[in-house]
Amino acid sequence: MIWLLFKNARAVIKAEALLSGNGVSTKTIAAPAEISSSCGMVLVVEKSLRDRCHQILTDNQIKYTIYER
Amino acid sequence: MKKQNLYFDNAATSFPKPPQVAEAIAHYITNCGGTYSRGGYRRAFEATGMVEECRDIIAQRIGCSDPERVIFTSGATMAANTLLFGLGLKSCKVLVSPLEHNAIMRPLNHLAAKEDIEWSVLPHHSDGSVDLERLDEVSKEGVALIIINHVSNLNGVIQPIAKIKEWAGEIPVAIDASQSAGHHTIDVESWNIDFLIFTGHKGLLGATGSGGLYIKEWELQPLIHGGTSTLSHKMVMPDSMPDALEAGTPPMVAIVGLKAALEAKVEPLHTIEDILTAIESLRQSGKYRVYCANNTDQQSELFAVTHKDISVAELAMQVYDRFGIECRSGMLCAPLAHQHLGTMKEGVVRLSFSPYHTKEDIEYLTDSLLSI
Repeated sequence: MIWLLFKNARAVIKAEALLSGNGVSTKTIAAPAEISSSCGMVLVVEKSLRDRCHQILTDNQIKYTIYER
Repeated sequence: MKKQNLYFDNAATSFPKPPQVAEAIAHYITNCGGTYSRGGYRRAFEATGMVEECRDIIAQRIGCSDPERVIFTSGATMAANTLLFGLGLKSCKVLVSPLEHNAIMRPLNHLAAKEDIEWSVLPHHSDGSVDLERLDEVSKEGVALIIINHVSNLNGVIQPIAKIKEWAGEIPVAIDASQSAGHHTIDVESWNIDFLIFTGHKGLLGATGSGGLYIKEWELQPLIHGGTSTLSHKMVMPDSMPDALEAGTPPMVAIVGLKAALEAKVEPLHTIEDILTAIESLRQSGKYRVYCANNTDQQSELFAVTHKDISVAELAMQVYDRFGIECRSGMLCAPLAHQHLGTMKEGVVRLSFSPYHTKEDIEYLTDSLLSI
């Protein structure tokens, strides 16, 4: 799995809508302390969809960072 | 027979609301209840989504292509304070229209006393509309902000915003849209304005507790500091918008209600001509002095009157006791406007309209006033 981190909750909402609208299944979870100091949300996606996510998010100018373990 | 709408105090707060507002609020409280951005569970996600959808709709309504430049506040007063305290106006000059509300004038005067700020009034016509032809007489030196009440809460004058900004050039212009949002087209980008203050519970028909501020590209110091759910390991506010200016839990119930009101897209059941006809009838009766725009093109959905024989308090009491009409009387939290219109002594009786008013409602109001 990969974790997609965004600058704020608005970006999470927009990203989730875009990804699910393009057939990418996501799960929203509370941001784990080891990857974000945010007390908000991050999106979790299948690792195999990493490139697809990147394309969708960059095409829509949504900045994000990936955490992977 | 259709029930008459006798509530004419929509400039204070709108009534009725679209039924979807109560439904959405009840649904949120009963079935959703999550808060903004605090948690990864579905309830929080849905609540966060509702806030962002509302932000998107508001941005679209005011002609803003980047919704992150819109922040939510508890209302227009908090938005005005966020702007005035956040801009850093120390030792600067501020120009205002003569029809500003105390939501602007009280924080501005507070800052003037504390931070060596000077304010002065733009040249204007007898109805308080800015006199565009005399703007070139005004010195722009040291001016850091121009504030314009888009629609007066006293006489309903619509100010020529785009032309004022054209004159202002690089000087930032802030618009108080408390009485115009929902009634008139607002286009912050084509007007090139820098700040827009709005409230959700007047012309936008939402519940009290919602409002906000559009900020073009300026960095404001936050008025309120606190949790945002971002950069939570730091004891200072984040600098990215909208979080930088949205500390604390947002007014979820009010935002949910505002979203429902905006989605309802209520169309007026009367025309501006119906209001202009009322103004003309009252004026021609010889009984009333009517406070309205000199130019009918600049008349919005409210105006005010005084009666030649009875006080404003007596007039308001009579229209309520005899005809059931609810309206505002006295001073309207706008002493600067009262000063300029000569109504400081006892104020006015204000009639302000809702999209739910019909032509017949307005005729009933006119006939009631004419019978006094």
